[in-house]
Amino acid sequence: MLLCQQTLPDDTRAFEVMVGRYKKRVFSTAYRLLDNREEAEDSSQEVFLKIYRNIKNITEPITFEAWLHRITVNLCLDVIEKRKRVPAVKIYLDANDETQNFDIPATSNTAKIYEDKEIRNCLEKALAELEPKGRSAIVLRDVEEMSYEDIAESLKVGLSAVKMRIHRARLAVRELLEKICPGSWRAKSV
Amino acid sequence: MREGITNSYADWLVDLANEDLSGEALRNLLATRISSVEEIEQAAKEVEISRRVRLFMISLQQAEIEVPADFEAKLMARVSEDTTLLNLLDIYLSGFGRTLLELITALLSFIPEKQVSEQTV
Repeated sequence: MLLCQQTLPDDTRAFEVMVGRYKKRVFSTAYRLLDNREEAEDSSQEVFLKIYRNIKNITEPITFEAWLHRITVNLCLDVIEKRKRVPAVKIYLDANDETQNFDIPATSNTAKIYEDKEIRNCLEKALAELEPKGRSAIVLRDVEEMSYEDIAESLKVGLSAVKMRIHRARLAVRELLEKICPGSWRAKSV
Repeated sequence: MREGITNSYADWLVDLANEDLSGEALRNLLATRISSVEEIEQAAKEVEISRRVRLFMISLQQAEIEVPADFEAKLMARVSEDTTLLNLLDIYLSGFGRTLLELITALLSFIPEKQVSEQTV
């Protein structure tokens, strides 16, 4: 990051290395929050453009990763906020489609891989059905592992409201899992 | 599931879902704040669900999401566009500033020298 601060805007090589290092994390966060690859890509690029424009203003390199995460989350929450609430027509990932979004690490336990993949597919479907406020809260807490305080700050609500949203969202996910993928709730691997 | 029964305890139940308490121990703890047996059972059930869904959700962390192949190329094109725009804006602003200064100087030159010195005094 220091190198980026010293070399930008004339030399973008250090910036490119930084993009290479963090793009996966930024894109994953954006995709989990937005549940849309195009929007996630656009938002991730906006995040890096923001960094490109403002990197010289960061004084503490230690806070860079936290800063990056916060920019990503806030930018995605803005996108969610701006979305019109139209009922989304979701095209679910085919459970048999090997070209879907997840890369499952190679292991000898094929049954386990299939089970994990099934559970993740079911969860993705359930999350897609959740209302945006609940979805943001549960993803930020359970997948991004943000503290309740940070979530409250990002969502601009109180601590109690955050916990309430998480609790309701978890109960809703359970209901949705039963509806979308009957049996997944009782899967042994989790 | 009967919605609303445990809404007022939701933030507490979320905290309990992060802990290991279950069975009788969980019910005893819930009984310190909830008096109705029916509500205690409901709350205990919700804590278990919350805990289970949390574990399901954590499994999503392991799912690697593929970044689009041309992500960096597109980004660098946007960066270059951004730099060009900023440079153009810079040139435009410096050009505009220079023109403005020339215009002011030209306007001042039309004012008789005496009037100018009076105004400045």
